[in-house]
Amino acid sequence: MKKYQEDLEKARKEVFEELAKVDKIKNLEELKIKYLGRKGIITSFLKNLKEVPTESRPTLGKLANQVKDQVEAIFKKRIKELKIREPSEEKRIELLDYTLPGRRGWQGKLHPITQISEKIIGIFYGMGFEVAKGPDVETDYYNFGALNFPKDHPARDMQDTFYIHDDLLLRTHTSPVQIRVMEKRRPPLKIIAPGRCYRHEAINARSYCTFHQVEGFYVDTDVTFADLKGVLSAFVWELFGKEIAVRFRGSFFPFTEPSAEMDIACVNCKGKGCGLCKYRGWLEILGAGMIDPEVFKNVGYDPEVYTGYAFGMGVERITMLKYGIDDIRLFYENDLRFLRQF
Amino acid sequence: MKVSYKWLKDLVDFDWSPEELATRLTDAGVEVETITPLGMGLEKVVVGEITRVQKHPQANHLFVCEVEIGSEFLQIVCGAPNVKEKVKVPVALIGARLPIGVEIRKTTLRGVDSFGMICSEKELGIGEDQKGIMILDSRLRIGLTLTEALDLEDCILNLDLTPNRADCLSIIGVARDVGALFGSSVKKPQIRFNEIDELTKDWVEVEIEDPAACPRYAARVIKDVEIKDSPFWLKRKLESVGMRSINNVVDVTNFVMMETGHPLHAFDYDLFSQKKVVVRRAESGEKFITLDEVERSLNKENLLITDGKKPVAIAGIMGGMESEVSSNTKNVLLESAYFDPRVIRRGRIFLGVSTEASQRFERGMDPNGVVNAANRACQLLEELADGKVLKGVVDNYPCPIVPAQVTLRPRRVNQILATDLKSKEMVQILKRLDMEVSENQDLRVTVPTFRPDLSREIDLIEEIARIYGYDKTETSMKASGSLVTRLSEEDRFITRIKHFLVGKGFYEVLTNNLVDPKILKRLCPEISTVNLQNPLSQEMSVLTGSLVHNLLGVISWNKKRKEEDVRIFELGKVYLTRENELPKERLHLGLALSGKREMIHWGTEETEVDLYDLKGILESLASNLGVSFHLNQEKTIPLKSDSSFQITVDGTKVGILGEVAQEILELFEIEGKVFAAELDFERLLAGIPMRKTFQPLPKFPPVNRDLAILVEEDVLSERISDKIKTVGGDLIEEITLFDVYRGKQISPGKKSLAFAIRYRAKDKTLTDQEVEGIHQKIVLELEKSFGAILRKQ
Ligand SMILES: [Zn+2]
Repeated sequence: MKKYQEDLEKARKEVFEELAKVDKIKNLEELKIKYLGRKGIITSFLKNLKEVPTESRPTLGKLANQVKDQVEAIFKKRIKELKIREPSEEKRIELLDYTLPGRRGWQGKLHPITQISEKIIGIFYGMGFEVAKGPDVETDYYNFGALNFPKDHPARDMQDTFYIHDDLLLRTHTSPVQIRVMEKRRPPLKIIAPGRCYRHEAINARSYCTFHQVEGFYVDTDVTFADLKGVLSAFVWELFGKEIAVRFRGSFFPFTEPSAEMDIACVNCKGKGCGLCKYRGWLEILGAGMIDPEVFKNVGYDPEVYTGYAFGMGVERITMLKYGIDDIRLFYENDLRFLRQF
Repeated sequence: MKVSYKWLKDLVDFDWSPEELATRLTDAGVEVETITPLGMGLEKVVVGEITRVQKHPQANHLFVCEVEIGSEFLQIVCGAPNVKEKVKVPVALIGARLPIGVEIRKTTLRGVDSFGMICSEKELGIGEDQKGIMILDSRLRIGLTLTEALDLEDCILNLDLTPNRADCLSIIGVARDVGALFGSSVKKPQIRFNEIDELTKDWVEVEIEDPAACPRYAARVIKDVEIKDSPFWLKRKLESVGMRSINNVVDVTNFVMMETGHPLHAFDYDLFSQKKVVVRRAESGEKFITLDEVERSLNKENLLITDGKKPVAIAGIMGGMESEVSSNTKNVLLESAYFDPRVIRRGRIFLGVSTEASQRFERGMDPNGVVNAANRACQLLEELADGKVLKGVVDNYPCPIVPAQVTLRPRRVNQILATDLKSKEMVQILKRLDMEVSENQDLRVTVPTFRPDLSREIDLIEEIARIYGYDKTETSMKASGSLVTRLSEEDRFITRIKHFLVGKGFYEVLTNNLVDPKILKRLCPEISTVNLQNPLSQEMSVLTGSLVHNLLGVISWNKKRKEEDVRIFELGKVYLTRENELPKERLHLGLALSGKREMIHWGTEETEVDLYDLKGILESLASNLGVSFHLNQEKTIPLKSDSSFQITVDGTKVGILGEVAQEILELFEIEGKVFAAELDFERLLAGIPMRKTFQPLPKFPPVNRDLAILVEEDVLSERISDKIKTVGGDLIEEITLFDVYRGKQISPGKKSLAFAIRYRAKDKTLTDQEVEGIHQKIVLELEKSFGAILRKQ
């Protein structure tokens, strides 16, 4: 036991002496293997523990571990010191060119439609709207009937439709979500419903067969046209800036009455008139209105008790206006040179 | 619908400029899309009189004219055959730029100087006639500008009407809105004409077989008409609103339609085989030639006007060729009727046509405006065709349609609009829209039948709002509604996954989910797709069933444009049909990867992506979400047979991953390797632990040991690490495979795998011996199970 202790102490001293002489990392590494490697001198003390009498094993074991920790620590310290010193020698040969490009990883981007959708949803979420969704494939009832589009009415021409069969179609707007939510729940309801829609229209720079809409509606006991104007004005100011002028004008949607169209001052010419706004100074941004009593009746709400507003906007259109994109097809080509820009 | 500014001015007083008028109408829901000025380019065209015509000395077909334009005489060379002395003509002066794009300059024609041009209607852009120069009314003053002389200056408002506003398909209807907005009333034309003693009812009787489809049919007869060209003013009016002049009789019916909205039809009375009009449904398969000379096959949806023997028109849609008014017509049978809008709509959709008449009837005409429209036409036929109007109207109207009575509560108006309008103001607005109102506490409103879109209180509230002005109503900037808004777990994870992948260098794509079934079926032959009945094309006729399919399209697009390094994902739906139910729509996450592993960098070697890049991304995603993915070999069609795997979470299949098969890449004309994965988002979501529980940090130190073994190639590394875990049990904290080596010193068919194992006990410090013991056990077990050979270092 005594012998073990002495040898250990001797080895410890040796390490410190040899360490003092070393001034190259390479030599230091060799020294480290000599003492701390698998068959290193300090390591072997721990291995030899099984040969000492059982009763002194705990004390010696503790001691050996202490020495090992101490030696490991001093090596770590020396390596650090030498590392700081050595590069300065290399510097004389190779200058650090900090203008060389760094090691960058690939960077992706969200699709511009997603970026603007997230923004739109975020604004309404902040105003207390909850997100709801519905299927892309809808029945005639949810897409038209319940929304007060009578069969054989010219209002149906407003939305050219893809049919699966006579009763099944690709939704032409996100408004069916209004019906689905109202059927299941009771007011107050403050809902925003983003989603994909489809129109049977020829594909060109202005129109595409699929697009994204964000629908919103609020039903409660005393919702007024003023609330609608307020929420939409606040939304547009958040999205396009506080100074932008807005106007509401009459329109027609079968599921709202009164119906309105909301315009903003042209983002390009600030209202003076240009090609983008067809020299009107205004850009159509969304459709809205007070929910038609027929719609309430269809979902079993009493229109004398509840009133509400609804609105819907095309995300592609808003994105095009925000970024000055002039061809809707770009969104669905997914050209990386396009996606990289946003 | 085109509306002439000047025509409106004839019917209602207002002092707005065309631009201001357009804004007012648009605000009130009658959208003016564009304003087209007329008479532009005619500033330097004046009325002149030809005072002398001489043959051109050098050319047979040319004449040298002397033209007086007031202050002076001009010498003009002209080639028109109808040029003659003492007629008044439009003269374009030097410097004029005509609407057709011609600029007038001084020219020399075969040696004779010419100082202007005598113009045809066509050259002036005011008519179709180009046979010769336009001959003007001899009473016009010489030297007057042509626009002044012919009253040509006008603006055309192009309306984009919503389908509810049938009434605005007429100038009077638009004038009514203008009057309501401005505060004046419509000056309807006075209808006055003479009737001769002969009775209409002796000439024609009207029989309606289907009064539901045709609630009213009125006929008048005008004898001895003279078919000729319409006068200039009538031609101009029709042309200004986009209609072509045909002859005086047809023009009168079109004029009355534009003015009142009501479509009329003029038949050649003498072509009827008997003195009778019978309105009936068509037989299915019945043939009829319409006036556009097309033979149409009809069905029961079509309503026919017949003479009791043969059809003469398709009711409300188009007249027949045989009974059309022609230059031989002597006697005219004038039809003014009201048809059920749904019948006209179904009929014209069946025929696949849309006409001025059908557009109006399907939106709803005024059943009580029928006789008025007929009479207005009689007045004009008497005036312009010298017709003799027979006495009386044969008016078959068995069940008169009465105006709707609507109760309007002023309180309700203010409640919905958040306005503070007085009952009086509401009454004023409604009356300006030609409604009758009786005032009590609530208002009793009689809605005229020309506004079939107004039948409820809420409809009248909209009328008040739009005439009062949407911009004059309040805007409330207070918040209301519930206090809490929720975001679903699904939405939170969608956002999280999207942002995670973007951070990993992936571009999000949104693809057209209407795809080509031929190609889709090559990727997933068993899928039962959702098929469109009326696709735009075969290439876009089914809803997609595979995001990998859609992503390959994007990769192809980009590679063709020299974008070779593509890392993309889409979170989108796939669609599958189901019996008697809405199709199944499942949200999927698709990823695809192709090209270089890393961006080109001076310090990095260039390598191509492989399976482990995609697998690594998914493993990182799994770790982000707190799940773990396992792969099992499973053949899926779009993937290469030896590189096709299913991904499972806790034994549930959530998706596929692998290298896209060569024959699939060829379909998309893609060169180079593509690795792709597709996961079912709902199943993935189900595997994510929603509740997290804290684990106390370890109190005792770990012991690290490395283990390098040689095994046969076909031994999967995961089997080995699983075995290590089984043998080591709780004491094994972590196993990391840090090296895979083949080659020098390793015999062929074998590979070297090196694992770093971290041992740790929860309750004590592990001694070397304890670790060594387990480690040896592991080595033995690996030797036994896999024939592994321990590599000495
Ligand atoms: Zn503009």
